[in-house]
Amino acid sequence: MAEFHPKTFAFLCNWCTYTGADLAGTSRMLYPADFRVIKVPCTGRIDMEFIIKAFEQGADGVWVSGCHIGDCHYNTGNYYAQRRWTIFRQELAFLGIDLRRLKFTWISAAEGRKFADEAAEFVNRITQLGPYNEFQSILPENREVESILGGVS
Amino acid sequence: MALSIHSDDFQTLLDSLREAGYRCVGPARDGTITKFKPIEQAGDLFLDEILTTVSPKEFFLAEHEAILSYRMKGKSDIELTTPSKEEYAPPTLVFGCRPCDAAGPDIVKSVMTWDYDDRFFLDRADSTVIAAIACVEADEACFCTSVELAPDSQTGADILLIPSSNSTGDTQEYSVTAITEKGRKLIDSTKGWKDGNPERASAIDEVKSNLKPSFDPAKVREWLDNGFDHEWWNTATLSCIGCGTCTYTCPTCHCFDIVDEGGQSEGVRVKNWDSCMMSLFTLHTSGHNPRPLKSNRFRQRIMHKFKYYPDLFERILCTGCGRCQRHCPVDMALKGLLEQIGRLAAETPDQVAAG
Amino acid sequence: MVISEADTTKIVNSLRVRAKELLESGEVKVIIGYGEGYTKGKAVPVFITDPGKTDQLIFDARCVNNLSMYLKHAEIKAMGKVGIVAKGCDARAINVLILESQFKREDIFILGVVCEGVGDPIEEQCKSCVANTPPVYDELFGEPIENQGWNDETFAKIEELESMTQSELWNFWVKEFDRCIKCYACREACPMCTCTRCITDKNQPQWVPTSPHSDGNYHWNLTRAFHLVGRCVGCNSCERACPMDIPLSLVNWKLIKAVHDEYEFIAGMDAETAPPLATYTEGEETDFIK
Repeated sequence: MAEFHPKTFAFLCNWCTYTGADLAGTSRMLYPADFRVIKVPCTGRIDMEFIIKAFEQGADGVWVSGCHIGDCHYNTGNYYAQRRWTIFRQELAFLGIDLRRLKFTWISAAEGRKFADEAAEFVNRITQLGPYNEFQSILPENREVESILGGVS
Repeated sequence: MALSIHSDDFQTLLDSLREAGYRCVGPARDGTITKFKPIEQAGDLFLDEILTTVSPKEFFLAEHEAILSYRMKGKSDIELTTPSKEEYAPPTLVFGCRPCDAAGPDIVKSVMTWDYDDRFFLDRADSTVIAAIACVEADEACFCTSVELAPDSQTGADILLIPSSNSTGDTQEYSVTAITEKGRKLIDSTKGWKDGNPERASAIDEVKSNLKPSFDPAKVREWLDNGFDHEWWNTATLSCIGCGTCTYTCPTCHCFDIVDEGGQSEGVRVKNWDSCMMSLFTLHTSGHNPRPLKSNRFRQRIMHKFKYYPDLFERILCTGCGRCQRHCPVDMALKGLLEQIGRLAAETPDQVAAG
Repeated sequence: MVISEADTTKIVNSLRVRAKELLESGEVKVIIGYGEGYTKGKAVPVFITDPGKTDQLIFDARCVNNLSMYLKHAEIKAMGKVGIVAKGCDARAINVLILESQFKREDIFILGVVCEGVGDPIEEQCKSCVANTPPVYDELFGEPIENQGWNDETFAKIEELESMTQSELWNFWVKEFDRCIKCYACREACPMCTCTRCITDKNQPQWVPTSPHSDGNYHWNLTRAFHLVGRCVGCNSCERACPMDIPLSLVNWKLIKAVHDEYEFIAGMDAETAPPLATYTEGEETDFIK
């Protein structure tokens, strides 16, 4: 059997973590590439629907990352995001979602090293957990999954 | 030859149905509600309730079904698949529904064969046998006798079981009538049925005589003919919350929505139940909504059931099951509203047109 | 029971008299209250515009519906100023709606009624009522009583679920939500669901699948509850309306508790305090974001 490569999404804020990823890249740091990055203007832009939709599209894990508290480009976006996720995580846990598959970090534009380390931690964790069979078992058949995530693994 | 069946023999019937290639669906508990579910063990049958929470209409008009799937095999090569009759319409016995539920598919069939033959509905109707059980109990929401049906009516049923006076606690004997050829064939190919003509339980006729018609559908239809703009719609429907529970639990409501789920490479076209009680139901792409108010939508529901459908097919689109009253969060009983219309028709026969 | 039968009769009588005055003077155009239902023993929402008909008004434990839900309906808004009979939970919902600019305080006249709980037997959420005396009213009917306050019993089932493993919880909810038929009665019965176009009715993109399959049902129920965070007053209208008996209140109350534990906030106690997801405290941090 071929080695398992998880299908994962990373929602990264444009100003900090995405730039941090750029820094990791230009600094030629190595990290596993088993995630598809979706750049958003701010973590405050991340609707909880994004996360559910990702799992609905067959994701095995979702990573959300933005500016440190106090560093938000729009001053307050990550404060709102933080509160939203605080409650959202509790709802997900209550409804039986595996929280190990959901990762939240703050990574600044200067933290290329942290980005590479967290990326490795995330991918390794999801790889170890394996495919998110539980969630995928409720997905209807014949719905497009591959074409969206096909290029990832 | 008169036939009967005893509840002790239900398991024999179920076993022989399986052998004969039928699946059996019957009333069963699902959490705190009851609905029609595939039954393998006679003990799972729950026949004590006046009426299940939802009607068995999902076995004719599925709550959700794929009607087409597509897959891109190359740039321009599309593979289309439609489900086969064997998949979506297996031979089925709907066992133990009430006569009002048995009448549902029979009434809806008129529209399903009208301008277009809905093969999903028709194939299922073809391969499904309905064995109804006459009612020995009714509650105040029941009004089958007002819509030309009865606690022991045969409309839509292929087999009618009439409870006999021979019952002891949990067991019950029924007299059996095969109404259609399909019903006769099922009885001939399965076991559990016996010769005999047990005495009809007196409760059935008590229910029948207690359940006096509470309105005259002909009078209602007459009023509706001219009552489209009547002020009554606005005041009578104020308390409606527009939830649509009435339409989803109704055995005759048959509106559906078609949605494509999927993307560029593959996907499915699905058919889901829909409801005229929701504003989105008639919302145009332009933003215009011909039925923007709940009074408009409620009027449509009553008009459809008691005027438009009878106009087209000479049948009332209602079986009097009363689920719309039992499940309404604000007690907007259809029966009560029709009684009001009946009174309006009697009071002001000449003023109606003027509104 | 603090409120005697005689008190109740007094409340109902004064409610009728005041409603009549309000309609006669033209101060309000319609009174939304409770009256006898068509089905024997049921109390239903009534809409009174004729001052001669305020004797229809009743108030007792059968008056379960949250009437504030009607304030979002176009038909009601078109009638002019509304007088509304409000129990604690209705009044709390009105506070949230005012806070969210759905209407102005002066657009409605609140006939607050003291309530000891509704339903027979008394509904679970009433045992933890924080507004037996409505927090907002123009006129109060009945003597103010002490609020019940949160009761461990109400949270017992939630705690029982929380002691389950993640997979057990998953299986429990998938099975419960599987009964959903997507009739959206929960949404329509909810005073807080004020969107003219619900997220599930938005199809470009289609965030929530409209199909009542396991995925669509799970996604819808997850979304419905989350959109009520910091807004839900726990009136149980959604669960009562659900024809499939899905225990929606368990999710709502889990989140009501989470919001209280995290931000010491209870929705609808006033119409000024910013809801927790629409505000923040400078410098606050959480431990799950590394």
